[in-house]
Amino acid sequence: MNKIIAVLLLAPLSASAAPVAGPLNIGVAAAVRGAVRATAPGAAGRVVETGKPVYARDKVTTGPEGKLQILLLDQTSFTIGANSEMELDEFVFDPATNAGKVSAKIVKGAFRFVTGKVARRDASSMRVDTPVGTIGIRGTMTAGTVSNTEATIVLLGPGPQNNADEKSGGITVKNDKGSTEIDKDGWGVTVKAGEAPSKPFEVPAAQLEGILSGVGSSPKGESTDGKSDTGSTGSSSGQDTAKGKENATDAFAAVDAAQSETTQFAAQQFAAPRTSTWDEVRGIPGGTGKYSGSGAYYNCTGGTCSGSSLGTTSFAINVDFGARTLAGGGSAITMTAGGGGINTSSIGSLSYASLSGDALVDLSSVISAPAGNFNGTTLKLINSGGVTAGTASLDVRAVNTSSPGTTLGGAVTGSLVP
Amino acid sequence: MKFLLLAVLAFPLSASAQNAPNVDRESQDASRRGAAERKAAELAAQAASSSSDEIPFEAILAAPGDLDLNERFARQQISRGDLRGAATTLERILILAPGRDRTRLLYAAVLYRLDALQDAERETRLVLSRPAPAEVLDEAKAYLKLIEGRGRKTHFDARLSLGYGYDDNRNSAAESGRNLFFGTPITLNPDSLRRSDTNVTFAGALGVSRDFGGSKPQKAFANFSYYRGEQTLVDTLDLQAYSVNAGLALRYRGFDITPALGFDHVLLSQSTYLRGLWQGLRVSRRVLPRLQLFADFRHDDQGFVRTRYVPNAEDRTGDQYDLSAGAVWAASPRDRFGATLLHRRKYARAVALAYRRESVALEYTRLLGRGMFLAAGLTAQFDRYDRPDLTLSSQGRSDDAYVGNLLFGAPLGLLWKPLAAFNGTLGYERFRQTSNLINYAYTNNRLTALLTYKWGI
Repeated sequence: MNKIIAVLLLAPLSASAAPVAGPLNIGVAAAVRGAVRATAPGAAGRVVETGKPVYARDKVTTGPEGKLQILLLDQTSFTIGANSEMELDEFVFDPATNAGKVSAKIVKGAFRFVTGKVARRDASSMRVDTPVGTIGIRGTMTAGTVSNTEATIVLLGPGPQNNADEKSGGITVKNDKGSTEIDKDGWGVTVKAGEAPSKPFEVPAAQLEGILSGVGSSPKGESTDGKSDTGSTGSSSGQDTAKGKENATDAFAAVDAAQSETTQFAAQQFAAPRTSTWDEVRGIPGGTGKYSGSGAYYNCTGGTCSGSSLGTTSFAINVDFGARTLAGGGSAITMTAGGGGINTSSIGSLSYASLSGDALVDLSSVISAPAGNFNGTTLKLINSGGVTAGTASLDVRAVNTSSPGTTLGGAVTGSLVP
Repeated sequence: MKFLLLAVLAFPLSASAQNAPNVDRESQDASRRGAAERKAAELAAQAASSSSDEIPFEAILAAPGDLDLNERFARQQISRGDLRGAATTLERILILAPGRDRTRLLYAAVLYRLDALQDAERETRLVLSRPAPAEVLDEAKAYLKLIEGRGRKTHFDARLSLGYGYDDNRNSAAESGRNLFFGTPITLNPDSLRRSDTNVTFAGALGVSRDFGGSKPQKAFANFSYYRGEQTLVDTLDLQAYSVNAGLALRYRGFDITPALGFDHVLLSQSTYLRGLWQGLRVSRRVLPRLQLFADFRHDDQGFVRTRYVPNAEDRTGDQYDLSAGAVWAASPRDRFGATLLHRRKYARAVALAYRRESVALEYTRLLGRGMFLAAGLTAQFDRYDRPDLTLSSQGRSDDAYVGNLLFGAPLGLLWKPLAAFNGTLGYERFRQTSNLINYAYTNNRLTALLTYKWGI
């Protein structure tokens, strides 16, 4: 069926050079107020009323109180105000594909147009001429005023914040002296005869009002609302529905924050860490590795180590789960400050084969030298990330070699590496 | 209906072939035209008589002066998302019947939705100047406030959310109840098994944006957000996060380009866990009126900090690069589909924690009207780690995760008008991860309820 429509529509145009039965009906005078006349090339003028057809190459004029909306078959609309004149130069439309061409000329007066299917499919397929320049279109609602010597053209929308899934509007106004692009609603350009289009400017409110009132309707008297006018505007305009999109975006933002991958990772790394028991450690059938870690040490008073950091403790303690031994074989503890060694010692091997209770052991007896320097240092194995003994905590107590009689220390944790 | 359409189209075409644009000839053809107009009137009457029937555009061409038919046609256009068409229809009604105040307010609302603010403001002010019913004037005042707000060059907004959640495996415990350790499965400690937990969440966000004021719709923006989640039992997963970001929203040749910088500070169980600095670039373009394509690049410089409960956190420190692309398609004004493909490269100090991720996410959102929505999502992600974690196994780790979620939201003003600024959401998420290492194969079901208050000027 669509093909039939296309053929019917296109035939008169394609045959435009040859004699045809009549002019091409390209749309309708959809709303007429006051005096409006149309003239086709070579024909006498006719009075235009609401509902009458308009034809390709019609020249349409409005009187002092006139106003007209032309609705083309592709749903492009042109509205012109009083004392205006426009020509419908060319219209081709294939309803099957929405391909076609729309070309019109605003000769004088106030106008507004809203692009239809042809421009929506391919914006370059529509152009609107004025005596001083041409308007190229990118999905647009546009208004303006035109005279023989000057035109002011304003982009009305759709703006970038539209919630109607519309492309933002844009226009390019050009003549043989130059061109100007406008991408922001409420901005416009002035073109004077013989001059390039001006730079874009934010159209002053009073000037914009003048343009819009030229093509807009002005209510008078009592309200005459119709029978379909019920319900809230938020609902009937779709704004309430569109608001759901914004609400969804907000909800996603809040939920995303709660479900961040960061916490997921953390959860996998630990599950209620607690001190292992020797029985649990002995349950590990085999494997060797090394607990290594580093952290700050402090002054210790009365068993509590706190205050400002005085240096770094680092440790490496081997483990052989098969042989059930800890430390030995290069295991060491090192305390440094300002690059100089304060206390360093290797740690000898110890067996946990027969230990019981929490996996906590005093290393004093296996820390080699200097004798007594690490008295009170303990090692604790921790179940971490669901893994038995996945982490070791070394709680260091060491003599301050720079200030004998004082103690340094603090807990340092390290994870197991193979 | 197809026959009807053809008939309607045939009318003006046949008329055009026979009616020369000549007043005299028109009068000669009056009888023929009269028959055609009667046919058009019939069609319009048919469309008008049944409120449930679709109104074809051809019926409007046949009877553009039928105001009530136009009014219904405009609502049909709105429901189908043809806002520009609706604006044309409503403008037509108002040319013919400028005293229709409700229609004018609807016209203003449609223009507002199209972000044609100057036009919308003019029509709204015209309504406000009229002796219209009080409810119409009240709505017009509300729209004027919205229009003026959107027209400001500087915008502020704030969001506060309070929520409650439940996870049936908050600690992401392995489904098998065992973990590999040096290649040997070991039964998990009882307190490391699957633990359900509830949590209370609070989120706050502040944003500001400033239009540059030039001829392009370009602006700068900055946001700050705070999130806090307090677990009831698994306190080690108590989370706080502070985030700041700033960027530019630029427009160039139809492309929306958004470069941004940000900083995140995350605390777990009151201890700093992550400090991350990121930069990103998003490019999007509406290639069709309802189809938007986008591409995102983001680089995170992640600095994990060891905590009491995550002593190996630093092992994860390293860069993360995300490259994603996707599409958002508004199939109808109520139905939106989204698809995103993501490639991630995560580097880590411990090479065993470095991985590559490929993921695909599909989303569907149904706008239910009156501000309500239902959203569903499906994500599949595939992580391949660079090297085995020999503490666990000599096998390289491969995780495949599948996430399904459902989210329902509604403005609470539907229940009680004074709560109009609050939105409530209920969510469900099913997470299932398979892995070649039993440690990382687990499931979690999550329920969330969230109350959000939003404010903006």
